[in-house]
Amino acid sequence: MKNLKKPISELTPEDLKELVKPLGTKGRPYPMRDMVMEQDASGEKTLVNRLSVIEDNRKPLKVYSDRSYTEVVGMAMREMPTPGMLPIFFDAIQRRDPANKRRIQFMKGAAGAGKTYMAEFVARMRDDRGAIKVDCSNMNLGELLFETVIDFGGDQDFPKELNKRLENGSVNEFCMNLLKEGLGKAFIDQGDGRATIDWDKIGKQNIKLKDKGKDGEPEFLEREKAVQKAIESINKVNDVLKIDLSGNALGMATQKGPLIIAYEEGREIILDEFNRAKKGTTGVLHGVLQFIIGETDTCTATNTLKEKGDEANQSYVFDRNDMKGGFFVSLTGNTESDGTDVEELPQSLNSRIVPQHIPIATEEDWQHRICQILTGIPVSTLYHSKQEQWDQDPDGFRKMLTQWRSMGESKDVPEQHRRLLQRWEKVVKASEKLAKFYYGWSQIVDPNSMLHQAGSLAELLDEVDETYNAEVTVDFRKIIAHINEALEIRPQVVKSEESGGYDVADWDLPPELEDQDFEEDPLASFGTRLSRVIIKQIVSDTQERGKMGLYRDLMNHAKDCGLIDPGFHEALRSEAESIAALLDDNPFESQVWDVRVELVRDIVCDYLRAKYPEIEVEDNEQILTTSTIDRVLKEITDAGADVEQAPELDGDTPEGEVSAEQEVSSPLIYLNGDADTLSGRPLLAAQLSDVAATPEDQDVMWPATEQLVDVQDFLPTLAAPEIRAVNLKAAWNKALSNSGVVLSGQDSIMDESLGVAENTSDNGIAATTLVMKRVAESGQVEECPMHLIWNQKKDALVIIADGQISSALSYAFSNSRVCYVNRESATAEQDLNTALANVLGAEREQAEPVIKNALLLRAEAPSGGADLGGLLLQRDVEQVVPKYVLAA
Amino acid sequence: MQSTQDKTAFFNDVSAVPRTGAGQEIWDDLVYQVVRKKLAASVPQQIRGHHVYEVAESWETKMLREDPEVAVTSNIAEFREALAEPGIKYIFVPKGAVVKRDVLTDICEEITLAKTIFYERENNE
Repeated sequence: MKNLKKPISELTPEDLKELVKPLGTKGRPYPMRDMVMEQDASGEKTLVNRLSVIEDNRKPLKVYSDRSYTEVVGMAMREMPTPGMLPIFFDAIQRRDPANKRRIQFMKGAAGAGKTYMAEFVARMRDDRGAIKVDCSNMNLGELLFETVIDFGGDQDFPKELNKRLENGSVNEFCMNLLKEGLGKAFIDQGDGRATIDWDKIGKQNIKLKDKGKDGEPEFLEREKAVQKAIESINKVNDVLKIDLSGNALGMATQKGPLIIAYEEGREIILDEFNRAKKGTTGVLHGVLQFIIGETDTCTATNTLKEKGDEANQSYVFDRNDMKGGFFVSLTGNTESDGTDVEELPQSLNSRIVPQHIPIATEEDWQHRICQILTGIPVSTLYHSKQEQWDQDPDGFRKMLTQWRSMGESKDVPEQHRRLLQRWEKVVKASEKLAKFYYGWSQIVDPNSMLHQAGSLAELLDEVDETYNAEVTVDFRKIIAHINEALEIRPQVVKSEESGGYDVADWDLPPELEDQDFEEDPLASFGTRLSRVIIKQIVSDTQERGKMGLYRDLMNHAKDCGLIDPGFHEALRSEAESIAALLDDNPFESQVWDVRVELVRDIVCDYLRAKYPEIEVEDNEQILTTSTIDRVLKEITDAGADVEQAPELDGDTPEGEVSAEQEVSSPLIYLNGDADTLSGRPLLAAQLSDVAATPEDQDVMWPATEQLVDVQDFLPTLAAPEIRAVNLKAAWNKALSNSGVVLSGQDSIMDESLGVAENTSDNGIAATTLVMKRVAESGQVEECPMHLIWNQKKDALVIIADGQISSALSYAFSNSRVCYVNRESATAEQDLNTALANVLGAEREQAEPVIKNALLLRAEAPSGGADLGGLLLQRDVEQVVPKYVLAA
Repeated sequence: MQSTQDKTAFFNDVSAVPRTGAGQEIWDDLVYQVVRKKLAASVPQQIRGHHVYEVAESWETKMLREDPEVAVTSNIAEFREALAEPGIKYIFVPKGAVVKRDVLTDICEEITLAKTIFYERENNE
């Protein structure tokens, strides 16, 4: 038998020893907020509340629990109450000591402050049965002792039989409507002709009387009347259905209520919204509460609800000798200022059950909860409780966070949590900004907040009032809703001018969608989406309701907190400390070598799957091992390092020593599509053959199309970490200026264009054309000019080539700041427009003519003198000084 | 019902595991564990300690019905019972069960024993 189910009076010293699970010992401290004396700047000493720790092997925090030590510690670390609530948590644990006769705690605070959650958590930490929870709003508190229920006249199969008929859809609409009216929320209509009755819901706020009662909260029919109404409607329905009730009609009876059940079973009970109970009913509990607070050792509760002739359940005797260790009562209530219906306890009880007030959440508390929601563990509080240690040993903290997150955990740790914990440093920074934002937001919309009381926002008082605050209130639940929304993959919205427009054709057949097997990673742009969700909420709560002053202030606050709308134009690398940048878990941005290796392996495998559809193996490691990729990438990066150390070459090098041809010999890398050799050599080196680099005394060599690299074998490399850098470096050279065809220093416009064409421009923009091959739909092999426009400030790239790419590559491109434009697509022009806007951003207008001139240094202007778009999208533009990419 | 052959086709890399007697039990247990992990690989909706995964109808969800670790609930009474039972860690609500999604959320708010819940939806939803 579990110890918490035993009467306290029968617990042996061994039982007690088994029950105790210590928290806060040497080497295993537990965070706690406490008052400490601190000296301020003027030298005056004051008492302040500060995050500290408990580490006491003699008197640790003792959790009396039937769970194992690992379960208790794991839960205590993960579900730790906010710093502001830690002292109340400390008290909650102390009160549950079996030696304590006072088995009650009353917590009061604002809605959403987390008081009910804390009571649930403590109950769950002690006992795997958790707490019985009762919503006491508008309740006759006598129902806690004895409750009204439906009497099925001895036929306990009746509810099952009625549900069976409802669930198989055999009850007619008339009866369904009768039940709907009589049972309210306890009748659940599936909407497909089937329905069911949630018997447990009857009498528990199942029939709404008003959307808003006196306190602004919904008002429900009280239990006794709701049960009566249910019986009437069920009896009417049964007149039609004729379910056998052994000759009796349904009636009302009373049974032991949840408080007696909790007492008998040795369980915790949470009486939620206790001070919103029906006025004048607290007195019924007077004697029982005296027993629970330890003033009396026995108490008899009388059943005031019993029906005439109801012999059972006349009264119930509570006796301290029978009280079990698991029995404990948590009362929660909103502060009196929350509504007129919130009732104070009678003075006789109020002085005995002193409520503990949940302090108003601080930024530290907000950060704690945000970390819990993001990672499943309060990273910030654990970090701040021993900051110096974790700053010196970040990997040690990572290890401990991972251990605590899964310690005694029965559920699988979500991938989101695991990945974010690996990046705990960024989580701490992002959560700090988010906490600052949410805390400020909650203050700005609350007319009673300290911010408004201080008069700092006097100009907003016209826009912010109690009613508005109640509607848009900002609490922890809002963060959960925002985070859940940000984790959903939703269609991307594009500006109207960037849309491809409506297809004026027959819409009868559904469109062909892209590869559905490919799953987008919801965490890759999680920070970006979260920022957007929050901004959207601000706009909806302010601008769309005509509150322009509030909108302006909140947007400024959002900007200060790193929440500016991170559109593709501005985000990228320039906003490294924005919340978007901190929380986006984009593996393409990862500096961790193993992540980069794995990513390259996945890109190569996706490429192989597209090339060989017959590959069915799901595990990429079986197609290509990361160790192979690791080896090859190290070879590439080592070779790159060697090039870095080589002496710089210039155009004035004496002929015969180093030729311009040598300078362009740095290889490009492409993917090996040959199934027989790829496992050992997944990557191959291509040679750049630049016509501009042909020595004057030699004839130009024009390679055959078959010798060129297939563009589809090259494209994935521009999304692959390490390889992309090598290829982008090799794609540009100084052959034009070395050849003397284009002279620098003659004309500033020409100089700028040459800089862009050779990747030496101060503005960081480079553009070029590489000639490769492609297999057209007809099967014919033909030359394929691939244009590259690279904005190095953002490391963003536009690629224009022929042919559709896979969804996987498209996704990889979008995460690696690559915009791919398929020249053959019907929407190519629009796609190019979007791509140039994204990659060039505000510099677009100035950059476009220079890019065009740069490309024309190697190509002939198309007939009619096309603009940049025409030059990039027309296939017949002749490359007069081409750069060929030759296969190995 | 998914045949054993179909299941093994997916795990062909561990084909050396014996398939009779105790070996079969270990094999089944391993398969069930992998299936649960696979279905729980996405981001869950978190409701008062519970993790709720909306999963598309698939052979994996068919296997959940056979998994002895999973309580399959077809109506609200069964769902409530499973949610309140401390020994149950996983609950499966199959497509066609008379448990609406919003009602599931309400009950999860009420009984907070932190379970893993798989809620099956139509493939095209």
